[in-house]
Amino acid sequence: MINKVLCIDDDKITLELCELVIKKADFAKEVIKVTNGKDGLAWFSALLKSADGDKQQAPELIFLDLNMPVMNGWDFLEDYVMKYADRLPHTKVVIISSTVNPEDFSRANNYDIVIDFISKPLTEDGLHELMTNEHLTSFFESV
Amino acid sequence: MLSCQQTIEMLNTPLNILVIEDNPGDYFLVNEYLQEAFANATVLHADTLQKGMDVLAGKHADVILLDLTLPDGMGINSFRTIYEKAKEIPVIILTGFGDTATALESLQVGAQDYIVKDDSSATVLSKSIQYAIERSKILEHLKSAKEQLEQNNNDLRQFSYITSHNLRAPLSNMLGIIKLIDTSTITDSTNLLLLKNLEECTLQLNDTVKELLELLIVKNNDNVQREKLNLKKVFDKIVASIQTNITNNNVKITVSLADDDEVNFNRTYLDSILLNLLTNAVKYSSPKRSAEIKVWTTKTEDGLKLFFADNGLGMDLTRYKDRVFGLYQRFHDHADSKGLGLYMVRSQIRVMGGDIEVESEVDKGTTFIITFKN
Repeated sequence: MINKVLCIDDDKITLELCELVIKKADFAKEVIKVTNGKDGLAWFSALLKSADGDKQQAPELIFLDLNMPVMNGWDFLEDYVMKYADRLPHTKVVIISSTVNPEDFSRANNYDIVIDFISKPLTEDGLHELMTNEHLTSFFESV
Repeated sequence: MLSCQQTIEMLNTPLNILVIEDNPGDYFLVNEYLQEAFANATVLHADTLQKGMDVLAGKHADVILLDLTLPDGMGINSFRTIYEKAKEIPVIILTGFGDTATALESLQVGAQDYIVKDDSSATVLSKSIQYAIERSKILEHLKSAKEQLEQNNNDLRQFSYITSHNLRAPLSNMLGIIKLIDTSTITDSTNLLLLKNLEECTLQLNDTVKELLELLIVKNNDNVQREKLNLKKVFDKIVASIQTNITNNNVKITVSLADDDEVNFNRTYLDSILLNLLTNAVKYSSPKRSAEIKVWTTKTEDGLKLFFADNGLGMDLTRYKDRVFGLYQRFHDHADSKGLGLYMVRSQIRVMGGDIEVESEVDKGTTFIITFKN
């Protein structure tokens, strides 16, 4: 199982759903929820300030929504890659969006850190499939 | 056409006419004609291309008369230099007898008119200038109308993406919630039924929104990838993908496609088009006879025609002709028909520059004819 997942989505119901599904599918032990990209960045900033030894406290996975107020998914990704990605090599990103804009899909391909693009809603089946992703299989081998 | 009123107005309105001409004799004549034709004309003169450009940098010109044999510019390139600098100012080419080929060429790249110098007179010049100015005004108008339309189109596209997102976000939450509800704990049968119905409605709504969005993507995609596709191979693959359906319905398929029947098309679109036609033919086969589908091609000058014929229920084209490829048009009462398939098919073909026609007779069958352009 994954230890920690950070969910970034402006919709509180979606966040709750994510947590429920993640728990139900035994996908991750801990789910942290923030409601926009800026809060997401603030969370990482606080994490890295707290103590350098706390890097193992970083989430293995970020579930990222694209359309959000204040700071959207792309802006978050841009900043995150610039400021934090190098220091947290084990953290990957999965985009979860209801977008239909073809540009979004091709844009996601430009980021190595983005390992998957899932259409909303996040479901148990979707998570089971994600468990077979080459970047994540190691977490679920004992299952 | 210019009205009389407009013509007179123009003859009296102040006009700035730039003449770029190095031959003093020619300039003298042109100037004479212009003074004669326009009561209120200011003629600006430059004897080289560079000087002409300098004049344009400092002064407004309503029209430019341009000689194509200048000391610092020859032929069509002189026109291009000026046109690049001042796209909105109409340019009339002044040319000698031997030069009409170049003059004609410059018309194709944006010049308004050309005048053979030896043929020129006050009347000829005045008419040419008035028409050039009016035409270029209309052109400007068209250009801004086009920009406006493109802007509107873009706004609409944005709007549809935003709307779709706003619809999809709560909808996907509903889907997620429904999947999470544990119905095994619900004992009241009415509540159970209501929940089941709620699930069905949500799934229906989701399908509809999804299909609409797919249409939106086809309609908005201007740069779809094309590749050379072998019709026979693609068709065989599609048949294989619904082989069970075909076998269960006892459909006989006769394919007469040549090994070199190739089209320059988008792969996903071709798959979807053939799949749509094939499933339609199976779905709307006649209960009175065993279903047969025939597929063949004929070569055309710039591509090929694909014929896709069945012996199914058919449609009354005298009644439905205009609506066969319309959105949400259904002609048979069939449970899983939404009236999207043929609309999608035509959209995908048209985006690729082709077209589709239909021939059909009730209780005889239907033939679709797709024109591919290579």
